[in-house]
Amino acid sequence: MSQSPFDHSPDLARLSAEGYEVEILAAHLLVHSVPYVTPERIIKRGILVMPLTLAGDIAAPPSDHQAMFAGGAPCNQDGSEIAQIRLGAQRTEIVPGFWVDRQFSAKAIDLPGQAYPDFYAKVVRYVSILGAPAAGLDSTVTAKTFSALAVSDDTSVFHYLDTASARAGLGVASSRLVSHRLAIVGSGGTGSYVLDFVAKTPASEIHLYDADVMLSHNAFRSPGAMSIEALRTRPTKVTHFAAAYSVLRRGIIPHAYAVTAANVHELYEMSFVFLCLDDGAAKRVIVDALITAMIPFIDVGMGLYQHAAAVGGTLATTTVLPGATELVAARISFAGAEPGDEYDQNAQIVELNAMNAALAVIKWKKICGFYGDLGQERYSAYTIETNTMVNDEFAS
Amino acid sequence: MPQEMQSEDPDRVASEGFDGGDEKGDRHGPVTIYVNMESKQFAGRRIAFEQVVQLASGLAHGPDVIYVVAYSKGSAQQRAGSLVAGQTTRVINGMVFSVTVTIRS
Repeated sequence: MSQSPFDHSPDLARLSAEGYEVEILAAHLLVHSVPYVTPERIIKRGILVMPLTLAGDIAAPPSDHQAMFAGGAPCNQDGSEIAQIRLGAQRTEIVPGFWVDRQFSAKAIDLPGQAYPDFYAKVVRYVSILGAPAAGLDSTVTAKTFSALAVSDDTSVFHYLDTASARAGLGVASSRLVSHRLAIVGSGGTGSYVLDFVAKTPASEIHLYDADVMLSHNAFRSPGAMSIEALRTRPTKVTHFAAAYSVLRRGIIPHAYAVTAANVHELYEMSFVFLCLDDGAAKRVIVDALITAMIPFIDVGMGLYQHAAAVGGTLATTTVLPGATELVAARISFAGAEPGDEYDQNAQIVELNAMNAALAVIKWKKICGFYGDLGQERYSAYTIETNTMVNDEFAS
Repeated sequence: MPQEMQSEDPDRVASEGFDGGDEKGDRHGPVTIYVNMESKQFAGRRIAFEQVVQLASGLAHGPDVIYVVAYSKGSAQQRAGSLVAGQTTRVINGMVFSVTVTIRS
């Protein structure tokens, strides 16, 4: 699958073909070596930056008329700043280590619909505004350098670019979720939703552990929709989910076996582990091993009951960090599940699986520094019948 | 779960004069609380984790079982919270408790 929008977007391809030094970085379009004049009336080159709007791997029309610039203040031939397009001089980190220091606004008031039809038109307009004074000083100066540049973001785990983060300005925040090796032990209802959520983060590896085969009732407790044909092939849960999410990203590694004392050492390579399994005895082995190996983890679990034909219960999310493991004794149950209980009898609880998974992933993102965490709770319990969330086991 | 059909304690005391959120229940006698959506009468100013577990029907038992006790609609000082073994909390009329074993995923 191609990772390069340059292959599929006529406007980006035209910029490249005409010699502009274009690059895509974290869902932004960068144009390097754009000439401009400094206040000292010297010609320098800067980088023009704009968020890329993509439909799959094809560039869509730009969402606005603004742009950013890595360089100095671009000036007229006499050294006065080009005031017409000046919007701000905010120093901003687009991705770690890459800063811009100017924001521009050049409205396309002369174009149909007063909007740039594509990125070619937008780039050419900005390069022209910035470069005209430079061309006045030296007519040979151009942004069309024909210098070869890597045109795609090959380090991404995704098959198409995460433009949502660039549009929201979350590029630096979401970079806190990169280069994590995650394991999800148990690919049942809650585990499969944990996968759904973490698959959309830039975590480099996501390891799935489960020996079970995907059966009809599992399809009602997992994200997305599964066909009868797919169920008839009797895939294991982990091979089914690894295949389903491989259309979005790489780095999902299925392990079609249970985690036991014999192989628990595989988890020692992980940066974080989500425990989503019902087997209490197996869970005890894993919890003890992770504590000894100082691997941080979150245990999820729900307990349901029925009264007067209505289902009630609690979703627990327990966070165990290295050196802060004393809460395990009071908070994590290692009992085996009772076959035929409310959980087994009720298929219609998939949103509880999703919610428990969401609570776990939100907490992991807090630990990563993506979300704020003034609460510092390491245990939370959501009770269905009262819609109540209680927090406990606060980090000291 | 047939045992849940019996939703009130046999030694229930008449609960005249109570309204929602009454924090002076201990002065007047037992108050109504809910444990896993069943109404129960409880006499006493504070309730312990172990007492809440006792009031819940149909729970799993065993050495590895850890009960999760969460409450809400509690006193003004502590509207909602969780209890672990050995802990108690103030009881008021209409308080809601949930007792589960959170082991399913």
